[in-house]
Amino acid sequence: MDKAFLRLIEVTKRYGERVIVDRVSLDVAGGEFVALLGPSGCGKTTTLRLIAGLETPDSGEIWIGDKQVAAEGRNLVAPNARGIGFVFQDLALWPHLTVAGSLDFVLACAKVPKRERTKRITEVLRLVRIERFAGSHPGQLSGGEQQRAALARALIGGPRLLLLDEPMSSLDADLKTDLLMELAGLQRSLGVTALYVTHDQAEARALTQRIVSMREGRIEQAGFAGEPVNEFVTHSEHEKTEII
Amino acid sequence: MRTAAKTVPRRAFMWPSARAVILGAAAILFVGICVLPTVYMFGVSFAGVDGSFSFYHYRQLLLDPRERDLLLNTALLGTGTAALATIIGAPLGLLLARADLPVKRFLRLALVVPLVIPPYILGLAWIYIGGSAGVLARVLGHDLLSHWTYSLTGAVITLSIGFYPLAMLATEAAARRVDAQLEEAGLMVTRPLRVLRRITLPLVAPSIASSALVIFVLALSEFGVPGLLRVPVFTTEVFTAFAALYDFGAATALAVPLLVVALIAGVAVKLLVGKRMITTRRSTHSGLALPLGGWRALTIGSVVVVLFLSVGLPLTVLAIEAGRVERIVFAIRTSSEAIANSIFLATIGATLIVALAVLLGYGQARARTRLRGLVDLVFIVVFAVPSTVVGIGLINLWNRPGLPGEVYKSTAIIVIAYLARFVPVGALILAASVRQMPVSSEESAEVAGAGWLRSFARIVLPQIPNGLAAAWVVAFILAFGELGATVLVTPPGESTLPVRIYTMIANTPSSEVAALALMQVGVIIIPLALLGVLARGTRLKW
Amino acid sequence: MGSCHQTDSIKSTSHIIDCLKRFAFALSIALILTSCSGTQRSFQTGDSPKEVTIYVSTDRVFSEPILRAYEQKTGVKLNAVYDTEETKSTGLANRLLAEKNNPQADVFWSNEPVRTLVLKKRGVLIPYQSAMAAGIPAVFKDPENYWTGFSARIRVIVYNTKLVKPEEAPKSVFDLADPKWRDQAALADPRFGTTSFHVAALYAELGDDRADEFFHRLKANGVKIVSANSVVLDAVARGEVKLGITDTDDVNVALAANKPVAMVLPDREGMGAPVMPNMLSLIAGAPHSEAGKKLIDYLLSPEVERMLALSEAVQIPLRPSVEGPKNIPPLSSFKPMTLDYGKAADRVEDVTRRLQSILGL
Repeated sequence: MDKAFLRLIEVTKRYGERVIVDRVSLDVAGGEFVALLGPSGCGKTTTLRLIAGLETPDSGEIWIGDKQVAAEGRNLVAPNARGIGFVFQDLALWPHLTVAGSLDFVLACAKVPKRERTKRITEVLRLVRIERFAGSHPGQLSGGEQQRAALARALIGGPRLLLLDEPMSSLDADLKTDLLMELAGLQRSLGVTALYVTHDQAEARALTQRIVSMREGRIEQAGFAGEPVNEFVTHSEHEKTEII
Repeated sequence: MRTAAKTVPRRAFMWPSARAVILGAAAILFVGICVLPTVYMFGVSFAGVDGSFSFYHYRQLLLDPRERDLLLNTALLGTGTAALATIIGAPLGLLLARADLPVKRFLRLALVVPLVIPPYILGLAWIYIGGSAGVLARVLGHDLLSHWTYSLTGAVITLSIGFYPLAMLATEAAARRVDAQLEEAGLMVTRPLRVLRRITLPLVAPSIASSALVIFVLALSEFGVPGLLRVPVFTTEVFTAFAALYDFGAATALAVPLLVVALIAGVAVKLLVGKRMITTRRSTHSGLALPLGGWRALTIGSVVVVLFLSVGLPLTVLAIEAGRVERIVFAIRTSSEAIANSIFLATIGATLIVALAVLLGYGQARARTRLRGLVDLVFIVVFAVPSTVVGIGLINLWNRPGLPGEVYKSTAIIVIAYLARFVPVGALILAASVRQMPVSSEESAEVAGAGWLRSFARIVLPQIPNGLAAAWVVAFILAFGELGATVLVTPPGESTLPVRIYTMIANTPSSEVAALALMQVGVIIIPLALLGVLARGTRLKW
Repeated sequence: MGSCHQTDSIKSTSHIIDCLKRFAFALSIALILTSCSGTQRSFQTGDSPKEVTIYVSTDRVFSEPILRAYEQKTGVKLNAVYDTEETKSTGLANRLLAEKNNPQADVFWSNEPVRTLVLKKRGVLIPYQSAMAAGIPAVFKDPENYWTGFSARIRVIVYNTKLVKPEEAPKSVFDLADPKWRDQAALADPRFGTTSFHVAALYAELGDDRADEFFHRLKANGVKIVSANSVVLDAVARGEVKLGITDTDDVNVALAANKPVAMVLPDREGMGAPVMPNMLSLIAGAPHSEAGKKLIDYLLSPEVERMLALSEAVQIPLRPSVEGPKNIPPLSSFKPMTLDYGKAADRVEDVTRRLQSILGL
């Protein structure tokens, strides 16, 4: 069925008088990589936070898979039960935990047995190529390494949906290009559905299969980005099955 | 942060920048006002019987077999109080910051009340309750608790009740500073309570540890409660050396073990959390909201129990003891001048304390790592100096012909006494606030061409309104209640409320004492409540 | 939302800065004013009769009205520092010692002998023989004129009338070591205040060995050491203990409040009851010493003794001619402990150390 994996129906969010997200409807198919593009303040981050369950919509419905997660102005499913991996704008790496420690925390929360946790942590760290930094605290990592650590944390739980909130905004251009390519490859190899918020058109174009533009809380235009440049696809199929 | 600090241009070597001049002036003021009186007293303590340099007092100290017990009692009183106050206060702080409690503003204000009751009065209230003829003994028909009331345990409990609000306020402020995204990242994987425990709590742990240290030092330097409950500690010993023997040298020498204990605690806390000092960002939204759900009744119940034990019961017992309302009204009427004096002086004192402490705290937070630890320890040790030592030191420093003498003869000396005692605690609070703030925001101001002064006023201060407010309130409360040093330097004909109350209560029956105590609590709560309303008006959240 | 928040914090900060500015202004005004008044004061220090400074350790409730009356009568501006030598503050004696090199006080009015005698020994005082002291018995005056005693209090045994019948009440302080009162007697900390004088007097009277033995027995009998005389009284009135030793004024205040207590003048038959006069002294190098002398003259007048006798402090006049308080027997009716106040005070430090170890303080 071509039924959308992620579906937003007439979702609205207000802060006081201001309408931040204005009757937004959006369908994202399973395995699709969509960019949510728009200038800052257009409501794209709020849309992402609504999907994650970090904000409560004032009206409208949100569906993930075949489950309604938000409706009638309230969240029906808690953020941690939505099967979402979230990469925050400031990465939000827990400063008191090591890279492996924070991954372990995520798995412990998902009640993964101790023995399996170690194995999965090693795998995901290899996947994002920061095995060396398993024992490091975030403060000891470079910008790119932090980015990878944040991505590892979002992926370790085996999410069905990956939400990325301008995670590359503070990186320099070269590093950004490298990471973007890697991310695109990862997304494809893992087959995870992803929504990527950015204000950078080039970034959106390079990365994703479809670009959705937002302006002043509304969806302006939804179109296809054309084939992403994907010569950096590096990971094989068997890795994907193990992660998910 | 460390790497960023290195990128600051080394301007200071070329000409003294505004920053160097102002921070230097603050440091000189700190030394002059807070450190010199104590240094002077140590000079006295090295004078032998005949006045020449000698270790006489220190030799006496080492030879006295009582010292070991005193040391043990002092350490137990400090750690016990710090631990218990933190156990009560920190969860309350987290609840206030995160949970959907009803009437939060009122709860916060009510829970802070024990802090403004002088510990001595709190001790008195607990004797009225737990003493062998107290309320409890009367209700139960026989004396259960009096043995326990007059003990180290009793002192620890009394002081914990007095000081837990500090742990509570520090925890709440720290929790409010935690970057919301860190908690949201947690919410993506687990339920709120676990986020609170595993993400929020570790992030606020350094602040909790710092407040525990402040409580430790407060308990260490507290004299009233151990004196009342007959627990021999160094403060009571210092007091005896002054009050019974008039021996300034011996008294100051006796303060040394106290300062050493404070120093050890300071180093221990540094080692424990030193590496975990974390810069957090002020976030644009409020972060984790903790829905109490099924725990609501139990949580509210526990808060009410704390409120009852720490505020309701002592105040009720004092009210019963005071007996009639007219007594309190009379007490207020006859003390109006002292009340006005106290409010005026404590306001100026707290403001100057914050003004000086914010510069010191800033300097400390932005200093090189090694220096930073050292400065922190200096604050802690200076803060632990017993009030009487400070008072006598101030007299010796300021009571001399010329300008210092004129200051000594005026009420300004009381403000100086407040500064001498409480600038360190303000600096500790504000250093913690500044440390939470990324250096980059200042650097960007500098890059934008703002001078240091402008950057400090427009970039640094606006980012720490909570810290400033907290430091001011704590300084105000402490200054308002200060007795030990004030009573020694208050100019003839002048009086502050605690000095007046204290000079009134000496030989009056407990009912009068209770009335006066209630009045002091009332007088200090009213301006704070007004401040709370004011803060609400300007949406200053603290 | 972000911008919203920013405006908030800017608003609050500008408010704080505003407040700071206002405080800075208020403070500079205050500093200017105080320094002005300070200079004024310093201009007047040429022994102006218009101003006098007194440090008072007699309870403020009793001393303040008397001092105010003097102000009204003479028009002299009287600056007072009040304090008590109880266990909550280190007291005026420490302040006077610390100010020795640049004295601020003219007169010290002590509520008991020990502090005055310490100050005499440390060279804080200067002799002054007041013409008004003529009617006061010689035993209450320093032969060297460093101090003059007036209105006195007595150390008494106080008991709870609900728990102790008058005929059972002890007649001597030594009875407190009687097993009959095991765990039922209270005494204020003997290192401080009037109790320190009392115990020093006992040592002076009994000699070290007998006094040591008495306190050992007292300790073995479970005497409760509390922080102040008022606490002794409180404990007795509440029935926490059956009896204790305290001062006459404390008992009177409790009687006035209808507390179930009564007092016994101890050792009327034997060594006598310890009498503690107030003491007045002139400070060496006093800034207004002439005004100070006039104030001492006033305070030594029969009028003041009468006022103190009629007050709640029920201080006993030392002049036989002044009528005493109603519920305290006059000096002539009982045997006062014969004391050399100087000698007793000399023992205080040593006795303090002894009792510290005997009573485990």
